[in-house]
Amino acid sequence: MTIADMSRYSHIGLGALQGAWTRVWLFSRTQPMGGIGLVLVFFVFFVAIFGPLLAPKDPLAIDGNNLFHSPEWYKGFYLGTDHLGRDNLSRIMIGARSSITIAVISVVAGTIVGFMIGLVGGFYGSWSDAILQRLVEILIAIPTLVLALAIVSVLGPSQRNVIIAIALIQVPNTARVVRSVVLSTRVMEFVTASRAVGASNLRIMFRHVAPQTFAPLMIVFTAFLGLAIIIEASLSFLGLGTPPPQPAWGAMLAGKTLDNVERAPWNAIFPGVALSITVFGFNLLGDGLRDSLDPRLRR
Amino acid sequence: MQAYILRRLLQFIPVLIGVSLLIFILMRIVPGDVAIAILIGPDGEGSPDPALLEELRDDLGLNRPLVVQYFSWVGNLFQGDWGESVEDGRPVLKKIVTRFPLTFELATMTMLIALAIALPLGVISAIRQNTWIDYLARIISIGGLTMPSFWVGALMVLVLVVVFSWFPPFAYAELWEDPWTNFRQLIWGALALGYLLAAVVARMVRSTLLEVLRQDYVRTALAKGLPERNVVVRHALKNAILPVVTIVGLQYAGLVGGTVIMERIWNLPGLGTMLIQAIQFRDYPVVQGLVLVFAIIILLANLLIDILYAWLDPRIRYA
Repeated sequence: MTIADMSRYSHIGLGALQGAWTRVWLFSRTQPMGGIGLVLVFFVFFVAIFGPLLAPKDPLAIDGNNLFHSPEWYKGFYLGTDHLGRDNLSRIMIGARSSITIAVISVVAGTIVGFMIGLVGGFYGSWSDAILQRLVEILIAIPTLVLALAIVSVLGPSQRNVIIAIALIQVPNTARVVRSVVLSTRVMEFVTASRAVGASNLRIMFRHVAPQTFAPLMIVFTAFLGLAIIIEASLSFLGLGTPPPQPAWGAMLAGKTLDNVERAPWNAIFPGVALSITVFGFNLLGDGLRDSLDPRLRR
Repeated sequence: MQAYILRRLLQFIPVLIGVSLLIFILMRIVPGDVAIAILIGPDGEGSPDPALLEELRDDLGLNRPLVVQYFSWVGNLFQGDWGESVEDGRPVLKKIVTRFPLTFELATMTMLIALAIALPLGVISAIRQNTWIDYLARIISIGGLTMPSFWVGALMVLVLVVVFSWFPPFAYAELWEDPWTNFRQLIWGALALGYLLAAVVARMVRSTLLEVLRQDYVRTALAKGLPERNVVVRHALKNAILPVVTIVGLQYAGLVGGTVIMERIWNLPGLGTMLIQAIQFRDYPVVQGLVLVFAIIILLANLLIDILYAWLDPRIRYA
């Protein structure tokens, strides 16, 4: 089922909001795995937004009496404590916020820049396209994590610089996807028709060609959110992400956690579970969106 | 074919120039400049001694115009002078060459493990589409896409240490000096990374094989009574494997940079650990040399894949 198919049922919804919920419902019905992904993503966003209100303890509070306390829920140690006695559950909840914030901002920025590059390059072709394509090739020639590491090492480890690094990595991928759609769309008859009635290049580009790229863009966007979270966590695992003591999922798995894995195995498990659930949610949602938006995969 | 290879090699040049420019620019946007960053160290505090600063700037050639800096850097690259490590003063190229075999070995082991998992998994998944075995195979592969490599690595440490009370050999041994110790040091990282990579490859094998299995010639082969096994292995897989070659080739090249985390977890002195150390020490000549090496490997891999393609598929002929 596609969005277009879904709109046939839009009379079920009475208002715009209801229409949106109907679409979500229909999407989940036709793409059950995508629906599960959507629920997981909602859950993670909920924790990211309301985490500070929900967290049982102060995520930065050091507790010398309870270093490496094992998880005992009836004593209030839901997921145990780390090497400084800090509460794992609270740290994971607060960590969700920085993880999601970094991922969303960087992917939005990367998508916008990549979209513009792909749109302009694909639409005008010739030298602007050639230059943009070379630029994309250059960025793709460097392994993702190495590029991210190089950028962060140059700019210094901070949330802002991690965002810049991730966004920059996403630009070429988005540009390529948008460009390929634009290339096939700009020779279509409706584009020729609008040119014939006197529409300007800008108008054709943004009103007629650009909307065609939204479906593939949405798929890339969702899929890349998962990847962005992994890159962010990898950087913080390597000590180049969110600076301590602020909790970050990747950093929680590094250093003292690995050294004391025998003593406190829970520290090596829970942050990873949180990470995997999040990435899993984005991947499922991305797959579901792809299956429902790509006509070739329609069943 | 030769003309094609030559043309591809020529196309190499602008991309390589672009990569070198990118690296050059990256190293120039260091806040302050590279010399200040090196002298104040990782904490980013305090102010460096002006005399030392001037000396280091002179050493790194930062006092010259940017254009001169770039061309002398590129010129030196060609002469094998990749600069010297700030940390220990050794030539960067030499450092990279000594560390490369380990990373290459780890990447190769990873790739072999990934293929050993991914090919059967993808094929079974495709020929038994929408059965429990397909779902199981897909869950295994989506697990690989979902779990970050450092977590899989951490879990592996956890299982080995806590459950089996086993610690990997401490001091690193070269492959030709002590193959068994070397194997025990590398295998866990290769297993963790291999599983993650297998997820990507298995998905690709499944989807391309599914496409091929729906084609007429496969139906014909089955209709004339050939056993399914033969049809899948000798008819369908041959065509389905082509796009997989691309993915595998690119991933293999990417692995040389992708082993960073495994090297870190298992304490292996390869290129990845070297990169992390260089970043911590603000050893910019090393960082810049490593990024260049990674890029060259990926570009070469791209070329090899295209040539391999033509060799594997007689329909593709590059004029």
